[in-house]
Order: sequence, then structure tokens, then C-alpha cells
Amino acid sequence: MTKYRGFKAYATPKRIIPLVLLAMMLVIPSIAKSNYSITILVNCMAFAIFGLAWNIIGGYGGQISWCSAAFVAIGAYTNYILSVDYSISPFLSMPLGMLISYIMATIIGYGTFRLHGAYFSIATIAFAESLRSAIQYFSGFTKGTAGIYLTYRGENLWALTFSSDRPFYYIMLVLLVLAVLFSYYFTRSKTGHYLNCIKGDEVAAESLGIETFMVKLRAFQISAMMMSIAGCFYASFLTYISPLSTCSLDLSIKIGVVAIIGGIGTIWGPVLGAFIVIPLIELAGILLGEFGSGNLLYGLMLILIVIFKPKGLFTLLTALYSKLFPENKRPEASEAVKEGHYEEAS
Amino acid sequence: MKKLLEVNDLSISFSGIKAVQHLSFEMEQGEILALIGPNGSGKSTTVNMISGTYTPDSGEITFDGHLLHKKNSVAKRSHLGIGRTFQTPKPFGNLTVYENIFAIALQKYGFKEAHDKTKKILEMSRLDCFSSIPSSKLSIEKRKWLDLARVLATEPKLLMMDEVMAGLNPNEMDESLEFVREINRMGISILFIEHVMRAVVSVCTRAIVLNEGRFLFCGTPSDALNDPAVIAAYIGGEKVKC
Amino acid sequence: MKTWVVFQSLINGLLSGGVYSLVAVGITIIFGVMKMVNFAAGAYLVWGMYFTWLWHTVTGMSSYALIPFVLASMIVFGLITFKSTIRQVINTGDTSLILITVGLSFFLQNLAETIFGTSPLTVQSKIKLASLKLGKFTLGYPRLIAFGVMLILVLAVHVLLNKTLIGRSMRATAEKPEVAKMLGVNTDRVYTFSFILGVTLAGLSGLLVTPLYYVSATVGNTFRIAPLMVVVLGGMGSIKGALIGGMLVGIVEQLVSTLISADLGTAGICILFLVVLYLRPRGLFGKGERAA
Repeated sequence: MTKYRGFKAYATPKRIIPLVLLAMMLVIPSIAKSNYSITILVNCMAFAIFGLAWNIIGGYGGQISWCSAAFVAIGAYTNYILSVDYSISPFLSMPLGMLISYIMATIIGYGTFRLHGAYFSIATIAFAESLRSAIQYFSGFTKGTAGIYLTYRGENLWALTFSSDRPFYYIMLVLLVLAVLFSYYFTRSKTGHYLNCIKGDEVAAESLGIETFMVKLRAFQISAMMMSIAGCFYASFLTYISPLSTCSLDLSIKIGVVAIIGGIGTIWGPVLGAFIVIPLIELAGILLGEFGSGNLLYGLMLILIVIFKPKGLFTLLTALYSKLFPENKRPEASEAVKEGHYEEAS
Repeated sequence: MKKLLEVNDLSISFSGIKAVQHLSFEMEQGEILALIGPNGSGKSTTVNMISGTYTPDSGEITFDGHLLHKKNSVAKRSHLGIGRTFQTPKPFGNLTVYENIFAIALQKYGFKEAHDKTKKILEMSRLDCFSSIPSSKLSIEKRKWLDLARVLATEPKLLMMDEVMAGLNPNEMDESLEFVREINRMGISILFIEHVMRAVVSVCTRAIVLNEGRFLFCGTPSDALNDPAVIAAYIGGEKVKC
Repeated sequence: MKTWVVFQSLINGLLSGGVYSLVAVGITIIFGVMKMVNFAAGAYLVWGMYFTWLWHTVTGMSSYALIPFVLASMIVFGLITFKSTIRQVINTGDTSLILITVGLSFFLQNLAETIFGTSPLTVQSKIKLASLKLGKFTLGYPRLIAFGVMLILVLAVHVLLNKTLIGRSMRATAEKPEVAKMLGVNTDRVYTFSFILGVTLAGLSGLLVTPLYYVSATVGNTFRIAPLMVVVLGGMGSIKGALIGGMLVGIVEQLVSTLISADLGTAGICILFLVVLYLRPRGLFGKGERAA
């Protein structure tokens, strides 16, 4: 049994900072005066969760998919159809949404994982667009292009309808914390390790016994289910959904871009990305006028990030972190340098 | 001694070029068998067929009593005990040296045991001082060693080494040869593809010579190097190439 | 009655597929040489439309007469956008290239909206509603002309690639850039030229559809997805594939829209795409080597 090394040893900055942020987040609704800021924060949190889900296959797996919106739509539509037509609570429709997303992800996986790079990305677009078409077509079921309005059932937690946005804030916060914890757990799991190997060198990974297809499929299924859960709760917040608002290529891209701008393949990257990009889009909308300005801005941000900081904004934070909290240089590293086996950083 | 690997009448061609033709040979358990031959003689292609990367057009491969089918994918053959390294090392550049080996060890063991196994392999391959260095920063020789260390984590029965000695200076080569012997002492059979004859003569008990995709000669390494047909194949001699 | 509808749809589809083909050929050229999928093709088409409108407003000429003006505008536009963005990340890997063209797609499409406003504009065209009647079938002139121009342009591209020095340089760079460089090909210039050629074709497609659509940034959404599918379906890097693929996609889209439901048009394309890809992962005429 290790000795209790004192509070200092456990309270490393890496652990304290998230807790401080969490505390801040918990307090904000009580201080915030307007509903507007709450709404923006809910959006930020939703996209942070979407980004974390995207990262599971996109960041860790290295497969850039553009079909996230399909799973958000599945979560949203199962919620709405069962709530509005059958008065079933979103808490019950959420598992159903997860199941459908799992199946859809499996189908997409079998259809696309033989493909690489752009073939894969475009094929994911094909699946998502097919789903959108289908939602529009089966309008008897889904009300088609007109979309669905959520029926208000008073201040009701079970039905997830409320008179203000504040309860959604806390619900999203809980989901965000869970998503972060899950991502953390995932990167340390066996699947997470295998995924890293595949990202490093797929051919080598295969030759060492890693069944790359199965691993990628599992990651994709997990990503889809996370997306679906978030989509379900986010939809309740939105109170109106339509095929174009939930299942559009624009949304899929937005989700991926938020994760990429923040920091692809990291846990805090998507969170950072969401909390920077979403408010910026709002700001752009106010300054530059309504239509398109948001997309204009974040198209520009994507271009700039890819050119100047492809690893995402999170690298700026980690650089700042190392300056503020320098760790001791590892002894092994310096020995290796002396022996001349360690090539200098390129 | 049990036959570990039986290759029977193996043939494969690519776009009309017959890379390997009617190749047959056997490997006993515990051997270090050299697979040599001039450039383009089909050595790497043969390894790729055994590993599952290529599917032969005809012929059979039997490993450890199992007849290998097309549906035995590369990964599945690794589970059966076939391991290989690559001519150009392929580290998981985004991971540290430790993580490269650990991730592979996780396939067979839980986290704690995988950690212990990884530590042992790091010691044995003398990479332990590099364990937290990103593998992309290793020099070429160390990358080759990492490739070997990593495949050891799969606990293979057969290890196919594809030109491990290329580009090494005499010192590094001696170290590597000792590593190879150590691996063999662990009970792992080795298929040694090599150009560097010194290495072949030094560790291999038997050598198979290929030329233009066909079987040419089998015997001890020194016999092989003295055989006129083998010499002709390497130098070009009077043989008419079709 | 039904067969007539089918055939009419087939004809409409063939002709409208021509526009997809043209955009797809542009994407294919860029992909073939640079190994990069231009996700922003739709945005360049939109700009082609806006340039047409601009020149039309200034000169009053009909859209087809404006081809040289729009051509020149697209060349300059393509050059500027290429040098400021894509050129910077050419050697940094596939992911960067995918992401930067996606970023460009959003940026350019919405830039058009910001500059020109969101209300749809029109380019006056005398032949907008005119059509050629062949027996029971109607061939709308705008679509017919678009198809014809497309064929001419694709033929020109074919001649360019096979009979000119720059074309040979492009093909050399497409096959083995390192070797091309050693043989004295200025690969940088080839990349620039190929990109400009590719987006100019997209821009001209925009000109060709001005009689058929309002000039608006949202048109980009319509043409954003189908050409990508055409390119992959036809086989990445195959111009023949892009040509035939475009027409095939156009036909399927029209047939599904007319016979089943307009809503399912896109689904029809997607399903065609996925089926072809499942049966032939390289696409119909795909070559395979150096695939994305």
C-alpha cells in the first residue's frame, strides 16, 4: 500500500483545473442574469459532447467521418416521435435511439471501412444524406420537411419540458462531465490503445494481431451511441427539429470542425473548441448580420487552424501549461541523448 | 522435431509477372532458417504470403498443423503465432516506445501483466532507457529493435525477419545477431530474410536460396554460398533470364 | 403514358447529369494531380454564378457570351484562393487537405452570401424557357446547351492532357511526382494550373446553370454533394469515369425524383453510390494506385 503522500501530491494542476472549471460552471446559472447566456452555454456544452463523441472515431481513430448528424438526428427523432405521438419520456426513448444508432453505425461501418481517406469521408456523407432523404420521405411518420414541434407538458423532468432553459443547463453539464469521464476511460481502455496503434500504422497494427476493422467498428458504434444520447437531450432543449436542422451535412461538418479546431485526438480539445467556436459564431452573427456570417467565420477559422495550428488550439493551452508548471525532465531522456541514440526533434 | 511450417507448391503472379513459382519448403520448430536470393527473387513476396498480406494463386501453407486459408486474415495469423518485421521499420510514431509494446501485449494480457511483460521485453531488447521516448524519434537501428521487441509481445512461434541487418554497422550487427540468438533461445523459430551474408552464416543453421521466384538450393549457409548455381544467380553468370 | 415519363426523365437526367459531370471532371483533375478531393467545388460553382451575374449586370450580355469574362474571373479567383490557402498545406498530409477544402467550401459559399446578400438574383436569359421538341419529348435549351458545352470542354481537357506539354506534365506529376520533379517538371506550377483548371470548370458549370436556378449561395448545397459522389463512383482520377458517372447520377436522380418522390432524389444517388462502391470499391473506372 502506498503511503498517503499528502494533499499536494494529489492536487496536481492537471486535476485541479477541471474541478475549478466545473465549480464555475455549477455556479454560473445562479449569477447569470439573462437566459441568452444560458442558452449559449447549453449550445456550447452540446457541441462539446458531440465533439467528444466525434473524436472517438475521428480523433483517436483517424477516420474523418461526416455523418455525425445522422446519429444526432436518430436521437432527436426517436425522442420527438415517441414523445409527441405516444407521450413516452425521452429517458425511455434514449436507449432506443442508441440501439438504432448502433445498428446504423454497424451498417455504415461494414459499408465504408474497406475504404480509406476521402473515399471513406464521402461514403459517410452518402449514408447521412440517405437518412435525411428518408426522414423527409416518410413524412407520415416524421412530419417530413415541416419538422416537429415538441409538445409542452408543463414543468416536467420526466418529459424533459421546462419553462426555462436552466434545467437543461444542468442536464447538459451532467452529460458533459459523463462524456469527459467516458472519453478519459476510453483512451485508457484496450480498444483505445488499439485505436492508437491503428492510427499510428494500420498495416503494422494488423500484422501484430490487431483486428483493425473490428476495432474501428467498435469505436464508430460507441461514437454513434454517444452522439445519439446527446442528440436526444439536445433535441428536447431545442423544442423544434427538422430534417435540415438535425441531419444536415452542415451540422456534421460543424461537429467535426469544433473538435478539430479545439484539438483533434485530445480530451479537452473538443470541449475547448466548442466553448470558443460557438460563442464566436454568435458574435459574428451579431456583428456581421444574420445569414451565413457564422459559417463564414468558422470556415475561416478552420482554414487558419489547418494552416497554422493543425493540432488545434489546445496545443496553445498545453504550451502555456508547461510554462506555468514545468515538470522535471525525465532522466531517461537525457541518458539517451548522451548515448547518441536519440535523434533530435525534427 | 515437429514441422512448424510447410509451404507447398506456392505460386503467385502480379499483373502477369510471376513473382513466385511452385515454391516448396519446410521449417522445423526451433530453426533459424535463412531465405536468401538476389533482388527480386521473391523473398518478401513469400513472407507476405505466409503472413497473409498476399493470397497465393495456388499452393498451400500449413502452419503449426493448421492449413491457412484466405479467410485467415493477417491479424488472425498473428494470433496463430506468425509474426514478422518489415524491411522499413513501422513504429507507431504517435506512441512512446513503451506504449508501442504495451498496446500489443494487451491483446493477450490484462493491464498489470501486460505492464510486466512489456518491462521484460524492454529489458531484453535493451530499449528500457528509451521507454518514454516517442518512437518517431528513434534512430533507424533502434526502430528495427523496436519492431522486434513489439512483435515479441505477440508471443509468436514463428518470426519472419525481413532484412533486419540492412544499414547496420558491424557493431550494431553483432548486437542484433545476439538479440536474434536470444529470441531463438526463447523457443521462437526464425525465418531470416537477408542480403548480408555474414549475418546469415553467423546465425542460420540452414539456408534456402530463391531465384526469380523459384526454389534454387537448400543446405547449410556455407554450402549455399559455394554452390555454383547460387553464385551464378547472384552474379548473373551465363543464365539466360527470360 | 408511363414509358413516356420514364424516357423524358431519362433525357432530363442525362442533360442535368452533364453539369454534374463537368464539376466532377474538375474535381477529378485536381484529385488526379494533387491527390486532394476538392470539397469546395460547389462553392466555386456558386462563384461562377455570381461572376456571371456581375458581368451580366455590367455588360448586359447574355450568359453564354460572358464565358470568356467568367473564365478570366475564375482563373484569377482560383489563383488567389489557391495561393493563400491550399498552397500552404500541400505537403502536410491528406487530412489537412480534406479539412482545408471543407473550410474553403464554407468560407467561399458564405462569403458570396455576405457580399451579394441572401436574396436570390437572376441572370436574364432569353432562352430560359425555350425548348426543342423532338416528337413527344421536350429538351430544354438551357440543359441542352449546358450538355453541349460540357462535352466540348471535356474534349478540350482530353486534348490538353494528351497532346500538350502542360498536360503531359500533369499526367507525370499525377503518376509519380518525385520522378516528375527530377525530370524537370515544375510540380508547383502544375499543382497551381491543375487546381485553377479544376475550379474554372466548376465556375463555368455555374454559368451554365444560371438559366436554370436563381443565383444564390444555397445552390452550392445542391451541387456540393452529387459531384463528390460522381467522382468516387466513376473512379477517383478517371475523367471517363467522371463523365459517365455524372450522367448516370443525373439519370438516377431524375428517375427516382419523378417516379417515386422528389424527396428521395438524393437518397437515390446515395444508394447508387453505395451499391457501386460495394461492388467495385475502386469505382467504375478507378485505377487504384495512389488512391486517397
